Amino acid sequence: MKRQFPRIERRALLGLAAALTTLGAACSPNQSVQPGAPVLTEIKIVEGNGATVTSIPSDVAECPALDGGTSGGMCDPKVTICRLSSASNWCSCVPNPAPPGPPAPDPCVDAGTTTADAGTDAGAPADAAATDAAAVLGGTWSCTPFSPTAVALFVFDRVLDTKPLDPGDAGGTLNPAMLTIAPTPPVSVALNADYASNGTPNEVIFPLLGAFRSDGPSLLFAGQPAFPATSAVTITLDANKVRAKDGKTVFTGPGFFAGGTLTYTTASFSASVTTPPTTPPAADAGVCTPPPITVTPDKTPATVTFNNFVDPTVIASHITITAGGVPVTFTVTSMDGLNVSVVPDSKWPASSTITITVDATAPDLVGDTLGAPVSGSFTTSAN
Amino acid sequence: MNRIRWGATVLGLALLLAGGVAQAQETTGRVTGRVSDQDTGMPMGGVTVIMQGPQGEDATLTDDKGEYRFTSLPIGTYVIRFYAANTSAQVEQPGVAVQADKMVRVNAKIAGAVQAAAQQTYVITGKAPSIDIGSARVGAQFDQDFDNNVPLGRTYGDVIERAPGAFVDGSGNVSIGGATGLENIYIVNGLNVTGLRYGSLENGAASRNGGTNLPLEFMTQIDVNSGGYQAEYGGAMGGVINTVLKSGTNEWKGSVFGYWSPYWLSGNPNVVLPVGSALGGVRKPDFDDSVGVEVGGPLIKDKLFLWIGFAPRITNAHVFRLTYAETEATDSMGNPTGAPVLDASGRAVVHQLPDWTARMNQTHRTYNYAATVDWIPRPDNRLTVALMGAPSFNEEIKDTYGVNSLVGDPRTAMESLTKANTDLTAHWVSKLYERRWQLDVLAGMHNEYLYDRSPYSDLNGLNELQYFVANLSDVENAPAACQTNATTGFQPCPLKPSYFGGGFGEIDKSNAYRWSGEVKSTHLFEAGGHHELKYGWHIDLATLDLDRHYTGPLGGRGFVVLFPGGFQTSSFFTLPPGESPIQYTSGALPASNLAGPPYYRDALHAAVSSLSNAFFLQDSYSPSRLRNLTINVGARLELEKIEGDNGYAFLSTNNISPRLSAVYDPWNDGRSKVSVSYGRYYEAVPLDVAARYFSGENILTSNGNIGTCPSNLQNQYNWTGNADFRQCGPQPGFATFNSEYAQANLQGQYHNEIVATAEREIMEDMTVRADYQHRWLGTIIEDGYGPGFANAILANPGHVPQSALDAANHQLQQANAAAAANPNDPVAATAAATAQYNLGTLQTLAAAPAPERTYDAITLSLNKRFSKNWFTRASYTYSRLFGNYQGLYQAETNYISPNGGNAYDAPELYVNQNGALPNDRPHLFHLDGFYSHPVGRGRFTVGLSFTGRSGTPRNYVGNLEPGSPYQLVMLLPRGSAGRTPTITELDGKIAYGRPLSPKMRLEGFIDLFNIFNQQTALLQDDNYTYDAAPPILNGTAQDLKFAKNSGGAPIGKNPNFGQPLAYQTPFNARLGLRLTF
Repeated sequence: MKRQFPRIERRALLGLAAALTTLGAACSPNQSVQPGAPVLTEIKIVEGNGATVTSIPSDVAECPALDGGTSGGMCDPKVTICRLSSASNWCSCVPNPAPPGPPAPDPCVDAGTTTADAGTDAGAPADAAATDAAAVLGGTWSCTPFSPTAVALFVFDRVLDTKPLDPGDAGGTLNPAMLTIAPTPPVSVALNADYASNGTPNEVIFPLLGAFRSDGPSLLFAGQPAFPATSAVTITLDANKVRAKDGKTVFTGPGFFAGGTLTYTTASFSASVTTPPTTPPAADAGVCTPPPITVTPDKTPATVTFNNFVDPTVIASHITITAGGVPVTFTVTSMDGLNVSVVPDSKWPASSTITITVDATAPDLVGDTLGAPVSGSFTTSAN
Repeated sequence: MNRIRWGATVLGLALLLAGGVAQAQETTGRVTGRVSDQDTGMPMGGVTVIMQGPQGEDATLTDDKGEYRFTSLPIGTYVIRFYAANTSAQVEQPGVAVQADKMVRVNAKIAGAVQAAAQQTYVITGKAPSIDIGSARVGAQFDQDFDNNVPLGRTYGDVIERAPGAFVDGSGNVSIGGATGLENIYIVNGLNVTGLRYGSLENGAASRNGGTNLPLEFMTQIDVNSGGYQAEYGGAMGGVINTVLKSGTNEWKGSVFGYWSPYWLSGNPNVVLPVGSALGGVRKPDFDDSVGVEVGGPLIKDKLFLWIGFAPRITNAHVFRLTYAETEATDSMGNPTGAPVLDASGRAVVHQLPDWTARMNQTHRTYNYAATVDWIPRPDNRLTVALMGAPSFNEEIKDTYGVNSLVGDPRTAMESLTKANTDLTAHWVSKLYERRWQLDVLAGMHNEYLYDRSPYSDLNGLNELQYFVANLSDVENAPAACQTNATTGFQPCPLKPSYFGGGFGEIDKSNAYRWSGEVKSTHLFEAGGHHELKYGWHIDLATLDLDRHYTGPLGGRGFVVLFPGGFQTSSFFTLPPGESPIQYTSGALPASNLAGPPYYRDALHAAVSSLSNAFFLQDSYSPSRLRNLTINVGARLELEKIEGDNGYAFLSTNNISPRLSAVYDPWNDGRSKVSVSYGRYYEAVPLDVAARYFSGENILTSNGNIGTCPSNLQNQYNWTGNADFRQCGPQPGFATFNSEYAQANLQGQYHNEIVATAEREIMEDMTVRADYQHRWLGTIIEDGYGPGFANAILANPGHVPQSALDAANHQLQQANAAAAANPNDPVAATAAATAQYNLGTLQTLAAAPAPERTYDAITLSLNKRFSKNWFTRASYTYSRLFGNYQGLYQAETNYISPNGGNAYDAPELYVNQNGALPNDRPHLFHLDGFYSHPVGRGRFTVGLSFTGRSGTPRNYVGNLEPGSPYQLVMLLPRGSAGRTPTITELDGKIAYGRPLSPKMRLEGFIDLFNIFNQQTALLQDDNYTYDAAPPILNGTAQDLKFAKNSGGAPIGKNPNFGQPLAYQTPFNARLGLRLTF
């Protein structure tokens, strides 16, 4: 009987199937976790929940000798940051402002004169030579300490082993880094760590949405209960816990990132008073003397804003309010621990000058105090 | 030389002089063969060969090598008669099946005794071969026997998925060769009837239309070309579906038919019940009925034939929107906890609220018609004119781009949709110079009309309202069981992700035309072997007029989103000349300006067009010494130009498609072949991208504080859609500029393909076949944004040519120079900023990952022609489809915006995309067959159809913008969430027919679909979170626990993640009667 299906065709079919299986496997994209050590790609100091982000590059240079010790001196805005080891801090190159244009004419001043001395270069710094030099490079170093509420962000190029980073369903505090604070704060401070597994470089939309953690997997560190003011805060990643998915390979980083250590200085504890919104009186056409700005005598709250977390129940006893020297009773509330609302128990007294004072011993959660009283005043209108 | 011949000659010469080459889709078949002396094996020249078929006879002589060849044979079954010289005896080969664009070899051996005999007929008892030895194509052909005896849907579009490796994807169209369902072209009688706006085929989908789809009773053949096709075919990256309408024959024949699918012959469908949302639903059929008649015959025997068909179809169904409430849990003291009672799997336990069930009635009425006239003035000249169409009138639930339409007001969910396709084509064929030259000329028109609006006139004048963070108690004053617990805040009837109410939404009205012309010239000659040289020219002029508007009162038309404390409106606007998106995205101008005149638009009108000129040249060569080898060499040049509304040609491509294949018939008997082919295939870009992105579509999204509204509107549930937002305070906006720029030197979208095939007839009427197909992408056309997110650019992402970057750079330098020269000219400054942005965007797209879609498939198939009472067609395809680019349809978002999808909208969307694509179905098995046996005076037929296929890969997706379902972020690498279940379905057919008279037969039948009532989940919810969340680069499911949203908080898991969104249609049956005469 004639073979219906020649042997060569059977072999060809089997060969084809084997080739396809091999080819299919070969074409399958590699989706597995990137092997090797996680590389630290960015370190950031984030203030105001992302409002200000200071990004430190791995090849950051030491700051040049700065005029005035901690700030000032010319810089090139292309080099955005330098390391001020002597002060355990960082300096940013702030572009110089554009030269001021001619002042807008004041309709209440006769033409040809200005409120400022016409012969004075308004706003000129005392050290004109330094300013000129800075103008050549376009920037000036600013070494302002960071807010005590700032958080530290360590960004990696690949996902990390989650075992040391998982607090479990019961929660708890992670400890993937060591914290050193100098000087030692009055209240013990722990490190609060949070791991985000998502994020990739070169994103466009998420940064527009305010997502400051979208550059890559990241570890975010905050103080618990808060970082202290006027301190050098040092965070050092624990190589035994910050590691690759294989559970063994420790992280690496280029240049400055190699040790996984960040040190920065926090600003002194401070506060400011924001009075209730004023109601501007109707402008009187042709009259150039502005009427006094007053506050409606109702229960609209004033706000005391701190630059570090406070306990509102504690802080209440450090606030006093007077109306023409007469104490006003009030209630204190806070939603975020930074902004404290001060509401009079009854309406603000009418036709009075109200003064809100936070005394010098008002403490933050770490026990730092303001050191000097802070106050703000406003005037209420008649009923 | 007669007048026809002269005319054809002149036309052909004109084509040659113009250097143009023509293209036409084949509606006829070819037969070749060799006649030899049975005793000596020597070829016999001068043998008269006559083919007798449905429209008369055709004759030719064998050449000195004994070879003969017929071309342009109408589809049908033929008898071939061989008359040796000097004798009137004949040898007869019956049962030769001629199929469209297929060449079969029928050899004949004539014994000496026959040559010496007189007046005698010798019938060859062996069956004629059926293997196509002329091309390396892969695919399948379906004839009327198949259509009548295998359980199938009602249209030719329902048959396509029976081809090896084919299946219906999420677009509702058939995926072929790893492409999405929007990448095929559909041809009826040589005319391209593919949907003009989306590239789809009409399939009854809500809210959109497609190409012309007709009942099976109208078709004589459906040819699915899945790959390996020659240069005369183009415009497809999936398959080419070539169908042929019936034609009249020398006998009056026809049929009257009727189908009835009553509701009581259908199973109870599974309810889609989203977890965490109070509304679910289920669709139940009422009936699906159709009747029809088709008849054809000779008006003048052998000269003029007519066939006409008419088949209306009415389908009614209803959808129940079902309501469920959760129960609040209590603590040990019996106090409510504010949390729902959970089952063992941690999901909220719900109970149905039957009194709050809403019923939505759906009806579809389609009136299919077609007619053909064939005129054969002489045997070598033929004119076929065809007219067809399928107007339909529908009331149904609209499609809202992947959002569950049931989560809304039943009135808002309904649409009144009118669609009407009309097609007219005329095809002339002349055979000249002893049939050595054939000329085909085709002209045709394809028209699509669509009008989509609400069936309730009041809703066409109100804004559609979408509520987020809503519950049924508030939006519909739902029953007590849905009331929010004021103490604990527990909401028994939450609505996720949102609820639609108010007006209709977007009203679309469109009218589109494709005017086609084709000229093809075929030359048969000998030069070192046999040549079949073809060249042709194909021209398509397509136009689309599209009117769109959001519903709402004039001056206040828009789409409104409401959420606690705020609202967001979307409205159309256009920019005047001289202004640029960058002015608004940079903040130089406030976007809120765009809410009023002269920018705001009540409606958008787009009048766009495309002009496609395609030329092809191909030669099929069989060497003199190796006649059983055919080498096909060809190339196709496609010049495609698309213009937007302002006449700007944003796309002008010169695409060259080489095609090369070799087919070898090892035994030269037409019963086996080995073939291999290579080709490049370009996409024909549908017009949607022109109508939307190059016709002034821009959307202003304005945000308002509900506290700024009049007191009665400060309760968002009091909004009626009557431009309520116009009564509220300032609404800062941000603009989405859908109006796009186009990359210079935009290249066409294409893929390359290699196909290898081995086929053999292993016994009479049965062949086995193995195909290997490998496809890989070249460039694609997609739009994308860059840093700044101002306007998108239509580009070749990942393959932006250096010339385009140079052009953008040059444009920037020019704009900068103009701005420097005119420092106070805001227009110059704007132009410079725009050029800077465009260069940045183009650089982003140049650096984007190159598109990948690689398809590898091996198909083993077995085909048994109908003989000895049975027919079988079986195929198993093992394939893999990997890449980062799905094609013209995006499955995860159910987004149909060909070449304007979301894949390259932002760099966040590039990540984790590489993996098994949605149309990756590794295992796909088809089995179709029937057995027919005489019973009494009639015949009893049993047909079966079985399909088994792998499920679709599943993903973990999040959103790019909170709550927006349009741009989905792959949180983990594509395919990480596994795969939906394997789908199997067995359908059956039982028929009994008996003759009523010698020429009349009545058949009754029942079709049984999904006999085992399998209701496997077809689709599962892949939306892991509704939050905006960046992707986890090469992460695993364990990493999801640590993912954060754009606000820095842990992402909120969608409780419905992984739950079924659609199930297989349950068991249903269809009764039918067919009277043939």
